[in-house]
Amino acid sequence: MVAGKRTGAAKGSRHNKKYWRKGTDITDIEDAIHVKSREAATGGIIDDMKDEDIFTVDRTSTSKKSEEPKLTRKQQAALDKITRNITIEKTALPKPTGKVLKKPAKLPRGNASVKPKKAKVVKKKEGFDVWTTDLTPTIPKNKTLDNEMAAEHYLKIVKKKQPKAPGKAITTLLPAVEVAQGGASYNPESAEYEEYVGRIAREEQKLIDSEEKTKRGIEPQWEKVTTDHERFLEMAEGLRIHPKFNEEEEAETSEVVEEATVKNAPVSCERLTKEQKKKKAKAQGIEKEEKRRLEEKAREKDAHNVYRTKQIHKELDDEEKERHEESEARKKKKVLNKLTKRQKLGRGKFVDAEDPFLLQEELTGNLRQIKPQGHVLDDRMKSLQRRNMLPIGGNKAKKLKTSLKHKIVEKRNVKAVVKGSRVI
Amino acid sequence: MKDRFKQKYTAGAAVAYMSRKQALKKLQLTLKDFRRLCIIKGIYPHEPAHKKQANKGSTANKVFYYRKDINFLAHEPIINKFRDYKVFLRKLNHLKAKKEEDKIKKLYENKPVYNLDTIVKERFPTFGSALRDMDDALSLCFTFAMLPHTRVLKEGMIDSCRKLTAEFMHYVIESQSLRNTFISIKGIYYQAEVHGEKITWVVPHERGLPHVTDVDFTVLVTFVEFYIAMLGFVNFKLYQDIGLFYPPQIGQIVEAEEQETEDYKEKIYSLAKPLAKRKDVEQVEDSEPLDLLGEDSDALAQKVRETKSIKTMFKGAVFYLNRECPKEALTFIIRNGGGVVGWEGGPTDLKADAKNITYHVVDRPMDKMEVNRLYVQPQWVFDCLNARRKLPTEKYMPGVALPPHFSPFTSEKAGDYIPFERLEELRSMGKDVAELEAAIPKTMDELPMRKKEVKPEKPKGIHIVTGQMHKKSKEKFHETVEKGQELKMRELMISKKHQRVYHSMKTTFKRNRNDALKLKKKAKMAKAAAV
Repeated sequence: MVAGKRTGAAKGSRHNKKYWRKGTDITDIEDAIHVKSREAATGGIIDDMKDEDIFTVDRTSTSKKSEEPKLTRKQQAALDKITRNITIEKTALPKPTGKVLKKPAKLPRGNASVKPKKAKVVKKKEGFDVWTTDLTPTIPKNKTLDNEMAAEHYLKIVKKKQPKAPGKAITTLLPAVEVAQGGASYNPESAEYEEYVGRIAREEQKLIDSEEKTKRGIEPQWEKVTTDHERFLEMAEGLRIHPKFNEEEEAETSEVVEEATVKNAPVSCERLTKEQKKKKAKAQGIEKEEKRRLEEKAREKDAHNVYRTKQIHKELDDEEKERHEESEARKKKKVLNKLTKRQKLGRGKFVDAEDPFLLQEELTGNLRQIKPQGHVLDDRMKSLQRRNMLPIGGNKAKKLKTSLKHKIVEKRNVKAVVKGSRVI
Repeated sequence: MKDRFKQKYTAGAAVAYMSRKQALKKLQLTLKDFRRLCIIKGIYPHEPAHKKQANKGSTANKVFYYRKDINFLAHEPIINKFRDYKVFLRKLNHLKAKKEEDKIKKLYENKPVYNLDTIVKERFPTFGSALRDMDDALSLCFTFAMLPHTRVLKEGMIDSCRKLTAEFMHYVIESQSLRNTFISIKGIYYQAEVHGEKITWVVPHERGLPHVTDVDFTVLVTFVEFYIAMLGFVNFKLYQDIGLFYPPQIGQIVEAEEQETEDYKEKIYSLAKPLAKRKDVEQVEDSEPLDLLGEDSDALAQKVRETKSIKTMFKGAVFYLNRECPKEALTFIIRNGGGVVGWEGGPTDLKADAKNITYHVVDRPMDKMEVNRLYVQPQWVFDCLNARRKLPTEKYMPGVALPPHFSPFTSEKAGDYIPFERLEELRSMGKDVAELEAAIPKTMDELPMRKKEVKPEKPKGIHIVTGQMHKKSKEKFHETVEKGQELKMRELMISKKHQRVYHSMKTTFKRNRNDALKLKKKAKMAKAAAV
């Protein structure tokens, strides 16, 4: 409803029923009813009619289309077949009564002929001699690459041929299989066995010692944990104790005190006497003089070096030669170290395998009752690591936190101060 | 013109090396695949000489590879197979979740596989280079053949290890090339000489391969995967060389299907029966040159004689193995020496009471013995091979405390203490032990006693004697004194740098001598006590 057209009752409040009855604009509805009644009188309501009653399909061509290519007989037949298939009503095939085990194979589409499926032949790999057969890749026959370079390029691009391998660096000079020592025999000779086991025992002892050393390092050296007894003594300080007990304690305590006190030497602050000062100054003077004299002498010697150039040359030559030899030896040693020693590969630390051993009573001396020790696989793994063929993994070192978080804590005595509390 | 403003880390170690992380990024591989690739291609990490330079200023411990190695790896077609496999796994997961059995089956049929032939040839351009790397391959395969299969250790891999190792042992038997063996508490070591290369490997004891926890099986499996491919080719070539069928065949030729049967496989794995030889290959007999060499003490002649004695050691002997003996090891050594082996229920099916048995190997005390055969403990067979001859069996009778089993791999130095038994063994092997024997220090009672010369008594009092010309003494004593003085002078002349080494050498020599002397005395005492 338009705002300016309010008449009569409509002038009042819109909330009232009166407005609903008289103020509503009903011209739209009236118009619509009028149109509808008129349509009904003239032939029928258009909205209710079907499309076919109102429109007719124009089937005559208005513009000349390019003529469709004439179908061949075969094509026409195919088209007919398709149209026939479309029009035929589809009826479901009767369901098979028995159990269908397998889905029927799909028929070939279109006019493809059915090929008999070849059974997959499991080809047993025949052995052949790699070292005499030529394994260089060849170009497929359908590619005509008469140019040799082009062929080479093609093979490289399709990754059939690989570039020349880089020279292999020798990783180690150590033997792949290290034979166990004579002492590790299942029925060893006594001297050999003793030597072998002795070596293992010595290594073990070394380990124990080092462990002990670290333990000693961790524990406080000068401090002592106070025992109950000591505590009691402290409490009983000044009390009269039976002399029998007192004696013992006296001795004990005195010892402890001796151990624990490490005092610095007293700092002395003494002035020099006049005499001493004089002496010192004199000594300094003499020292200075001596230094000057030596310098003079060296200068003189340098001046004389002009006459012994030949000798100096020789000395220099000798030195150079020596240096060269040393460097050569160093180089050799470096290479040898690289080929025989463990390199640092990765974060982990190399731990050598422990040599297996049997105790004397476990050595039965016959093959039937032998107790195998150690594991060959473990040995292999260590050997590979020793020969620098495998990296050794380890955990990343944990980083320490560099910045700390602020934390707000209200202390108890602060908390206790509330409104109305008095200042003492 | 020289570059004035050269950037840091654009030359030298910084570009020659590549960290593992960088390599992974370049190759677009996961760490697991990269590890496998490196092992298969034989590319190993290296520690750079200038670590800080290679690491672009950081000193963190990283794994470095040569950049050229990684660039080479990038061309490897196997990488694509790895990626295919990843796709395969993803598809498989998908189909398994959907429970489409048909498609899963089909997918498995088209599982991507890779071929290691070219890589074997690339890593070992010649047959000799492959033989030189056999130690690792054999040791690993022999161990794997004994393991139970797990999720990582596939059954197929264990089977092929078993097959390939059995084939190799057959080759060693047929070519009679086993030289040394040593039973340690870890396992049994063998050494064979194939095409002039000494191949050493270790076989764990049949019983008791304990479970290991700190071994990364995925790494070892990759090694074994490559070694299986390599061993297949090496075995083929070895078989071709001595005119055997490959795969090996026993007796008459059988069809391929029959070769797959468990029964036939067991027969081959037992090593007890000789392999069939091809008719079209001439068998080479190399017994002639020995006569030409004659009784020469040349090292070569010595070696030839040794091999000859190994080959004919057990010729004509028939061994019966009691059931508690380690069959594989014993069969291997006996047949290597030309003997015939059998046991109850074995492929040769030798009965314990057969008349033709010459040696009965037994590892437990026996109460019933037959007269016409010799009873020995298993160690006898091992010791015979090391001694290169048939040792007397008295010391090896069942129930007797065995003589010590020595390692043939240790070489004796002059001046060490060498036990009497070992000396005997060495002597029996035809080695010259005179030098070793002479170097053993003598105890006091062995030294020749110096006779006290009886001097004529001087007449007392004043007397006359005929004069004597003073002549230089020709006595040995003086000579030795002179020599000693000379030595002392020479020692004085040694430079300070070398003096220390000299003295330490001298002390060790002395110590060794004393030790040897002590041991010898001890042995003597023990011997006296036993008597």
